[in-house]
Amino acid sequence: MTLVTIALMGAATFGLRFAFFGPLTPQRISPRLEQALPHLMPAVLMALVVPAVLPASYLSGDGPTWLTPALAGALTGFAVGAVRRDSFLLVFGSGMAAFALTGFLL
Amino acid sequence: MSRARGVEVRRGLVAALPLVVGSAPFGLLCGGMARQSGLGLTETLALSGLVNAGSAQLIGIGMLSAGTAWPLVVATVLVVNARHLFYSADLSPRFAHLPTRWRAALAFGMTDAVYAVAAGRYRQRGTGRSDRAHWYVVTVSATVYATWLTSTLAGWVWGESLHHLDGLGLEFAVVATYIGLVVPCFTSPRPLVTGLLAGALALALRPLPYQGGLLVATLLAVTAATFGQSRTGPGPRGRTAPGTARP
Repeated sequence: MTLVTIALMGAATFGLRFAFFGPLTPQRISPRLEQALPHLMPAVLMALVVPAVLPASYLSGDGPTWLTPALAGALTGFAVGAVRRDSFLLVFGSGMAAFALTGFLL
Repeated sequence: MSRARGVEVRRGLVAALPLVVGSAPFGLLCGGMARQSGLGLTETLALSGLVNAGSAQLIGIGMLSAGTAWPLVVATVLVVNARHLFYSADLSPRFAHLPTRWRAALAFGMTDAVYAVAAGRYRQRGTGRSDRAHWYVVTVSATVYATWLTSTLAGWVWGESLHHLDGLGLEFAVVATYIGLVVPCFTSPRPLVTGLLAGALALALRPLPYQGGLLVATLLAVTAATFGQSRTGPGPRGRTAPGTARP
């Protein structure tokens, strides 16, 4: 039964991902939804990033320090991105470097 | 392989590298956790192979091991992965010209990270139907999927001895990738405000179960941005992200 449940989990996930690639053609996207879609990428990425670099323990004051490696890496990435917006590798590399350096120093 | 296709595949392999670094520890964790929860190797690999969605898998492992009824497990997966419906809507015009088997393959691998990379790729420049960018996306997707399967297997087999990897914070590579992909969107105040609003809401709504905060925060921020756009005039519309159009 577990394998059947797993298969159904996979089918549900695939169904969501395939919905507009298959049964629901792009022409069936409502104008309202079409107007909203360009905002999706900044919204979903920031909704993923912010909680990842500000863990619950940080906000509740239970964290080990105010500057975590993840927060330092994110702030550095955004700072570099503000100057060199289109240089993905520079933003990624500077964020990773700040993350590693802060982790080493702390 | 045509030259254009080869270029896209090579670019896809490079773009997948940060995702590989970030997803491997997550896969190890997932494999190790599945074993600790009593799932066998077949079930663990089936989970990674068929579901291919980290957060939903971690939640699913807990529910499966607790003997939760299957309708509840499937319903939970639908809630956790609901945002993927919007990824599908966003990218569907890019893939509309492809055969069904291609669209199915692209849909199967459309995780959060792959969507972010794919959407970023399609916004770099205008793409026509003759474009080979789908090779880029499928290369990223296949590379991440192979990493996910391999690391899940390694996590199940050697989970106990790989625990120290969890403390290295390698998963930050995925966050750094997201940052590198989101900053090109910030060319005007609206996407910046939308992003900040979504981030703040995601923080505030974090206690919601099954990662509901991520979905609700995204929906609220996108709705607010759309409402604001309709009130303040035409602004950027259509398939190009606000302020991200490039020549």
